[in-house]
Amino acid sequence: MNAPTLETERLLLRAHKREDFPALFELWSDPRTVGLMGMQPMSEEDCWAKFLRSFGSWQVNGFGFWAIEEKESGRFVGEAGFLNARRNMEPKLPVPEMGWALSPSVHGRGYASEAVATALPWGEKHFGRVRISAIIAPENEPSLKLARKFGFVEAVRTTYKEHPTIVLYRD
Amino acid sequence: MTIPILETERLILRGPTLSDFAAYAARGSDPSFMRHMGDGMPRSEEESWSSFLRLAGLWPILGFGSWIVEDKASGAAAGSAGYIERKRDRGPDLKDIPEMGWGIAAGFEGRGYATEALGATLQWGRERFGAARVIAVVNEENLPSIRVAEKCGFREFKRDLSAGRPRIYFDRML
Repeated sequence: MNAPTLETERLLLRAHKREDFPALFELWSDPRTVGLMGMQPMSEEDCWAKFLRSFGSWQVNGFGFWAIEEKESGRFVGEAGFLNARRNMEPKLPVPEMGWALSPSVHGRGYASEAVATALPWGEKHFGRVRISAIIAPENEPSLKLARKFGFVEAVRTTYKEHPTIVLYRD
Repeated sequence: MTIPILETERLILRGPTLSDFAAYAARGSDPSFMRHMGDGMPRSEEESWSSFLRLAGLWPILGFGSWIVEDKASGAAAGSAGYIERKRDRGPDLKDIPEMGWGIAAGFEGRGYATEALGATLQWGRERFGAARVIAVVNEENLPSIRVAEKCGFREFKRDLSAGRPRIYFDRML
């Protein structure tokens, strides 16, 4: 299956399209975006792999990430959704995990909040009342704030790929 | 898109499903299989999962991709074969040339399954791409896969090093 389209006041959450790749690569190779996540800018090859996984997840799992399109401009401005990354970390994260990333060009407008507010009810319907996890780098204050707003609570501090990370749960 | 199903005498080639992952992860963690692939290191479950999702994700974007190779007799997932697009740097002369890949798991080797599967995917490719050039990249010490490539009409045209390991580039026309 493909991602269903969800609509908010200012955004469309929709399936990724092939034409999104340049904007997606820009997002994930931007030191400002990935720096907040304790990651290095992605190479084109790694970003392509990520892009393929977003389609593969819907195909195989029936859930995944949405591309976030700004309605007014039609631009790809980020992504958000649910994943099972089978991360090689302790503790093992409960499925689903939730994630979001917005282009620095639209930071501060509340887009991530708007996207999460729409994706969460979809997730509650799809998964039932299960625990949702998220991992956020300790220095990523905007994302931590957003997570808390939606009921995520810090559970444990650990490391993933040698970077400190906070594991949060929402029950 | 719906992933096409191909059938040969002993095999069914079909799209990946979640239930194939256990066999796919077992193949990825098998040192004797992985020593011929990429950097030669076995994959963690996370790395195999990432690779599995890529395999499943190629079809909806590009309209081509790889199949799970199912052994008709047992119903087991015996491997994978088909077209890949990694956007890895292969030099400007090979940009946009479809690449093929295949891998048969322990327990199903030596039966000619890779050759049989590759034959079916080549035929599908002729219909999809026309008489286009396709390539395959095989590590130099991977003698079984080199034989498969040669049996399927591929010819060596270049060698290079990746992660310090010599690789052979093969090509043929579909």
